Amino acid sequence: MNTSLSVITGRSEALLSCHACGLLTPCSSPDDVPAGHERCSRCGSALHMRYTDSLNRTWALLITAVILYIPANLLPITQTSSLGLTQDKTIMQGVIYFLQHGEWPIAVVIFTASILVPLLKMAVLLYLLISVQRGSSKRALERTKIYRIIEFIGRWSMIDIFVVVIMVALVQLGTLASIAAGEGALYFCAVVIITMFASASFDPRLIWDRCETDG
Amino acid sequence: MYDDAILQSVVVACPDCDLLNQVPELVPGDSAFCIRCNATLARNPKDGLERGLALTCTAAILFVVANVFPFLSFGMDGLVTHTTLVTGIVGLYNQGMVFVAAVVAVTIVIVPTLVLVGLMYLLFPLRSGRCLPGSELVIRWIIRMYAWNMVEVFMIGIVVAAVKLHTMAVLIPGLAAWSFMLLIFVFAWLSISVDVRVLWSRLEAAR
Ligand SMILES: [Zn+2]
Ligand SMILES: [Zn+2]
Repeated sequence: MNTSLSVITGRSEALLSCHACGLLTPCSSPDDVPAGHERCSRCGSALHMRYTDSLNRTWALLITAVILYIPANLLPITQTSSLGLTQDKTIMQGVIYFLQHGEWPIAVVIFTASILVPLLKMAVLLYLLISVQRGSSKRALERTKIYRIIEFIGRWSMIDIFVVVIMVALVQLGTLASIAAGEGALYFCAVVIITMFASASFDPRLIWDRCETDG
Repeated sequence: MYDDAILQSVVVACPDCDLLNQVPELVPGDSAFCIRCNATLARNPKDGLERGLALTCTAAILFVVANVFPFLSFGMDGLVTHTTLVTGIVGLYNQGMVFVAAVVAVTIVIVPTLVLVGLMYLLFPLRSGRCLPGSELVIRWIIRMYAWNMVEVFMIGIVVAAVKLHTMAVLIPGLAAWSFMLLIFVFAWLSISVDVRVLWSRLEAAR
């Protein structure tokens, strides 16, 4: 049973909370129910005490994202051809180009969305995974808050991909000028998608589980 | 109508920290938060269903306009290109960027379409206290897909692309660009006007 008298959780009372509709369902033991064996009586969703295999899945996705982040930044994201001249630009070269041309608001937007946000997101996930695995019970509230922040900002990294799509659509004037998406766009797009899946597979309740057993 | 008693007092486990919270009956406009981690546990938006339905229909109209009409017209050396969303996706596909094209199609076209159609399927009958078959499945899928609707991110993309290209060509924002702009606000308003807990309790009452 729970060692701390003041903290009564779904787990300590052996109640499974439906992630889709919030209905509580009693279960025989507070330790994991086999995946998909119990379903919510209101909405039919599969019930779990915690997300299935949360830490392993998040680790796998995070490591994949970190590996793909390297080609995403080294390979060109766009290939511009103008009058027979082809120019490749990586994300960082794009940022530098705008800084040199005095377009610093655009440089700041692209730097934040394409470089800062993915790095921040991967660093935060790494910190959350390690702190949960080491069984830390410190600063649970702060860790939950930063988790909510990365859940919210992850999607904004897609800006640069959308900019490429729009430019590809616009600048298709044959021999005069054309813009094509580079290999880097593929890897970058994969990084954004995979980090979104990684933060979705991390169960924030794991942060708090340790606080209860420590009392 | 019966907006007042729609959320009865109920015990819920916080989705972020698992603490059991007693959520009181909420009057329209009120929200309940977890006492330990401050996560939002339930909201009862004012005129939830009516406003939700009105916003869903507005979003649907704007979304059709955003997809059908050109969002930017691009003039360079006398040549004018009109661009729609579909041209961009097809362009990427033709360059062999199948994965990127698919991601853009899913996040900008398919997910918003499914979310809006799903909401209409739920909200129209619920207004008169009825529900259509498969409503549970529809809500579950809306919850699952919601994070993958990136229309507002795309709008910022349009602005950045316009600034990037303005030195090399004349750019004229089209009807679709204004629709995307309005969609940001309509989607944001929609997500605070419709609460899944309210939908579930309405659905239970309708059966
Ligand atoms: Zn349920
Ligand atoms: Zn909580």
